[in-house]
Amino acid sequence: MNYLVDVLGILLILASGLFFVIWRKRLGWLARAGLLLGIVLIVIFTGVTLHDPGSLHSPELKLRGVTGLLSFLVLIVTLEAVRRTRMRERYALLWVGTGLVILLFAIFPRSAMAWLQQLTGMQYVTAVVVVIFGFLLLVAFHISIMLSRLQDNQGRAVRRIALLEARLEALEAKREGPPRNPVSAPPPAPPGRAS
Amino acid sequence: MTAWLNDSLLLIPAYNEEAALGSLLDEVRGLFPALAVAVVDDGSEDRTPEIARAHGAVVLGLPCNLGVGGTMQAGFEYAITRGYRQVIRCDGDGQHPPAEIPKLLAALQSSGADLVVGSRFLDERAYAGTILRHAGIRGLAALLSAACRQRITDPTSGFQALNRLAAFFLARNCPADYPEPESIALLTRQGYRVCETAVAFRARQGGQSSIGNRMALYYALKVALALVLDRARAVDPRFHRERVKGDWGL
Repeated sequence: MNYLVDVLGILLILASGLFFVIWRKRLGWLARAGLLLGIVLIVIFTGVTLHDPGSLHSPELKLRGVTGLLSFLVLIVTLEAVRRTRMRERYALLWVGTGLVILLFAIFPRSAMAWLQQLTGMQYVTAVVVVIFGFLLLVAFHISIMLSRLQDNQGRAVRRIALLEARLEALEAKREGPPRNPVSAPPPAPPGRAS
Repeated sequence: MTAWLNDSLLLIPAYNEEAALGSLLDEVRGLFPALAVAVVDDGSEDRTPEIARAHGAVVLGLPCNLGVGGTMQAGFEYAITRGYRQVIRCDGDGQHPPAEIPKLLAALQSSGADLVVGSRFLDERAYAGTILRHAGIRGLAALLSAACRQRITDPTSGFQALNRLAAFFLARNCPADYPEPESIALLTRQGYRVCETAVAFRARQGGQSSIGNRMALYYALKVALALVLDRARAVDPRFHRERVKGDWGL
């Protein structure tokens, strides 16, 4: 029963994400409603844990709530940024993936943790946190590099524009205005070449 | 004396310099009527490009702000494509007296250097603003002297004369943010020769320094990091002085 609600919640969240992507222009309110529903479901997940009396006072419950909210924050901000065309899809993919992984940890903390421990051989939660932190660090590093490259390219383009504009100005001054420097005045056009 | 005027270009990087630029350009025009002058406008918000045009300078207008490094790079690219043989650069705030330009060019000719830096600190005890700033410049000078294995007294001076080789190199790899010290280090590392000549600076005639007091620390740290990392980087053989001289026929 517990798992059934979990799966239902995931499906609804995915559906609301789809709403965002597909009907992002016309039915933005519907997507928002879907996301709200997802948030409600996250609350339900944690509510389900309440039925297990042993976990009532455990810090795990709070942790699930916090990670759930965090994942939602990441997902909503990402999807909204894509919707407003502030973020390209190729970068959004990374953040949607991150949000979904965090969500996974919020919904199935034990099994996700067990999987990660099996995968990395790490036994402690702190080690897992270090892995996650390292991942985010790498993401930030990647972005710094992208930004530097972008600035290089921007500088190149901007300089090219400035040079071309100066050249254009000089050409126009030569053609239209009175020549400022008589030495550099264009030679008279050869006869019979009028266009 | 006037032989160099025909193939020299005076580059003035300018960002919001409307206060002093006009009088500076008039002064240059009065002293050296034949000298080509290009103002590289780094996306100013004021009337800098209009003033530059009105006072007879060619304007290279960057559509957005790139910082001094990108601005100078645009200027060097322009100088190279236009075939100028010497490039002088000075600031647009009137700090660098144009009357000293012949001195720089004479040093460029006589010393055989590729870059001549006009130094405030060579023969007199000049003073650069606050104590903090002065100390910062001295520290930077020591670091840069160590990196270049030659004595550099005024690493942040933007009053320079370059020949075609150095201009070509900087047109291809100009350091980004605060380029003066780092470009000296890069040039010496790539086999170019740098020397200094004593020049008296004036007080700034208008406008704001691009480096406030808080930025000075960032400046010092950034340049120090850049100097260390440049030493760690391999020499780029494509831009070594002799190769540039041969390959590009400069």
